[in-house]
Amino acid sequence: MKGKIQKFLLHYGVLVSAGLLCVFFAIQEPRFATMNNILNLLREMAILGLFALALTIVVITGGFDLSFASGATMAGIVGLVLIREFGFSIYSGFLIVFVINVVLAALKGLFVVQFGMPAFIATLGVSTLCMGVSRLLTGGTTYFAAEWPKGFEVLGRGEIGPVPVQVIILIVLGLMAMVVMDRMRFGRYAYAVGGNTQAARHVGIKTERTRFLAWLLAGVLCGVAAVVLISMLGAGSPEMGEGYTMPAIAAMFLGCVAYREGVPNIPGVLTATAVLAILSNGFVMMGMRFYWKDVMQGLVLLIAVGVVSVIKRGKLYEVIAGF
Amino acid sequence: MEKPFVLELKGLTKRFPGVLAVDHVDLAITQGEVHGIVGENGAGKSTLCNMITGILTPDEGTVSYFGETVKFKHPSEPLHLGIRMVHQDRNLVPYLTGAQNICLGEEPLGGLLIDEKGTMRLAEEVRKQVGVRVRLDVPVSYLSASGQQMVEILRAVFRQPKLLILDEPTASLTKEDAEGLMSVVRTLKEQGITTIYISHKLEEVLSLCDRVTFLRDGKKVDTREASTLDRATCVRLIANREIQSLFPPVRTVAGGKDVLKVEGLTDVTGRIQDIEFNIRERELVGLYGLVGAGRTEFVEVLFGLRPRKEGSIQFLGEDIRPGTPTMDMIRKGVFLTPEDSRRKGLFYDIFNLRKNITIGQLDLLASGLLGLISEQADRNKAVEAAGELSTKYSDIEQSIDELSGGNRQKTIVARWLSRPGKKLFIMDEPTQGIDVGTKFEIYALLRRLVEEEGLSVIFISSELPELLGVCDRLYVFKRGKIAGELTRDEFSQEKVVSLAM
Repeated sequence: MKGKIQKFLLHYGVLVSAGLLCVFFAIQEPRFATMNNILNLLREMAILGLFALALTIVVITGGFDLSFASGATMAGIVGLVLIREFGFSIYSGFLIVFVINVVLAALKGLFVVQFGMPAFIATLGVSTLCMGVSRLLTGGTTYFAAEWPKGFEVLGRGEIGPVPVQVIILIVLGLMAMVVMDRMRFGRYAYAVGGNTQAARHVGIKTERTRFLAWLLAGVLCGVAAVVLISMLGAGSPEMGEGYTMPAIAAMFLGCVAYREGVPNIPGVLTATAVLAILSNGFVMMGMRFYWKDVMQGLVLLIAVGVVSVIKRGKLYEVIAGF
Repeated sequence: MEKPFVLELKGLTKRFPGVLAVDHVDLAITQGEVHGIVGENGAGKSTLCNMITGILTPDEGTVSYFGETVKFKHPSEPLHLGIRMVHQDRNLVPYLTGAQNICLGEEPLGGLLIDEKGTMRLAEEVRKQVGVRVRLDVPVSYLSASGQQMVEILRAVFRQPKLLILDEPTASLTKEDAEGLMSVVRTLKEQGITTIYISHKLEEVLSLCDRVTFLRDGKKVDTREASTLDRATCVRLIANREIQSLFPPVRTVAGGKDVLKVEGLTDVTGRIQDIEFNIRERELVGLYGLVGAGRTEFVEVLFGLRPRKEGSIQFLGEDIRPGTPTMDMIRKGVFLTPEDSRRKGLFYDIFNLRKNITIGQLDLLASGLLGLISEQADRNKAVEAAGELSTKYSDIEQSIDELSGGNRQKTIVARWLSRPGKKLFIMDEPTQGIDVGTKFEIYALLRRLVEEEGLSVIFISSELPELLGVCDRLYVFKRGKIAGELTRDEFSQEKVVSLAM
């Protein structure tokens, strides 16, 4: 009996807490459970979710990334400058934003996989560099235009029927990530490489190629996130990505303890992102001061990972346990 | 009056979900004896010792220590009472020196700072007391496997234990180092330390121990005076069956054509040099050599894991170019099960038993345009593969941690065995650290693969008797080169050893 409860908590604790939080907020504040607010909540989830997915894929192969948000910020600002100052169309501007993210990811892959630099340090360097470029381009302030070309806001503020476009993007990319990581050979190989590189080599997996591909995939997700971000804000500031770094890392860790026992996984990170979004949305709805969400998000992370660590006696995925 | 027992177990029992790991075991150990515990993997040896050292709590029964019943709530309690266990996996801090590891937790202090000279002095005293030669002033990661094992034992002795438990201390040691370790145990015995010695190596147990307890399926079969035992009796008590011979019958059926031909092979690090090697159809070829002689490095080059500098490899008449990836070798039908399965073979925390088996065949399991892997197909494959080798498991989705050593080894073999198109099977130390019964199963499997399924097999081992027992031909490695080659009718222990040394 005790074993069953433990197993249930281990696998569904995060999901259950998401449900309980929804019930709690719905009772406290009737407006929480309206369609309108739920769509709002999903909207808040989208960009964070994309970043968290990107990070999770890298972590699965044994890497880590501190620079996804600052890289996306820099790429976004470059795109805005090109569109406003150099008359680029929004399509080519957005495409460049996307491509810069993929190129950055390839660079990080090169540093970490080919040169063997520690991921934490390499991406700290990339992050600092990107932040510097962003400040140089904007002069440190917010960069905006009185009016952006038509269609600029579709990705970040548009809707298809009642559903925000960015929510559809998250759902589609989230499902694709799930299929790739859990149902395709690449995903299984990615876990194998992250779990035991030596053993992975012995079953014929090209470990370096797998790790590099994971970086590229993450770059694609970051590229989409960056485009959605500038489209939503209609402006660029060097700080616009900063608010995503820590929550995305938190979502990745929290996701590790959902559905699987201390192993990063896609459904887990999506659920965890939802938990964080519910918390911040709920507290705002209740009229609490905005900063309470940080307090609560921190607590949830500590409690969830704490419970699993205690049950598993610290036997988390090697990569996770290393931090 | 009789001396009180150092340790007395009464009706000790431990259940795990679905298994009775230790079933009402009674055992009494007298002062100063060396007491062997033997049994197959999964017989309950480790569980029993984990209850003595407080890592596990017994479900039933009592543990008495010097006549007093003890109930440990925390693994640190037995330490204070002088019970020390040296585990199979090493627990040293790699960056610290031998001396620092030995004194870890009880460093001599000079004020607030650690007295490094004092640490070295204390460690050296223990080393002299035990009478071994191992450097204690370098980080332990620089030491050989046996050096590290010695440091582990010194660390245990440093705490002046009254009862020392050694779990498979010689599993990763060469024969000479194992001899050294056994003489250490004898020295400790002279100093009055009681030892429980767990090992698969019957020769060691018989020469070292005063009494031997046999466990089978969690139950105690018997405790006997070692002087009354011989090898055959031991095997019977362990496996509950008469094994007429330790090896299956060998019927040489090798064909004429070379499956693999290697000429002048040297790897980029120079760990192997100028290897000339061939293996024919339906032939079982053994590779013998001391640890580090280049056997593993050689097969790593064959399997595309280690870059080649010079030389040619021909597989089924086709030239294998340098830089051919491992996956291509697999597709051609060359499979390798690595030594040291924990490090090189298995995926522990992330993959369960099923995924550990099918990881070797995902390219065949993926189907459809997107190359999706169906859970159902994955599971069927794993169940089929595990069944073929009669792997013992309770659920194909269970954690690999819960399997015994022999079944873990079978998991890696199953990964390849069920894959179609196999031509050359390479097994690197497949019998290391596993029990007599499973060893026999592996020998029988090797012969079956060769005689009935028409494969060629390369079998690497550090235990000469088993190579002589099952191989058709034998290569002896020495310092990265082939020192000699013997066919079955030329096999003799002396010849091989003189070539290897």
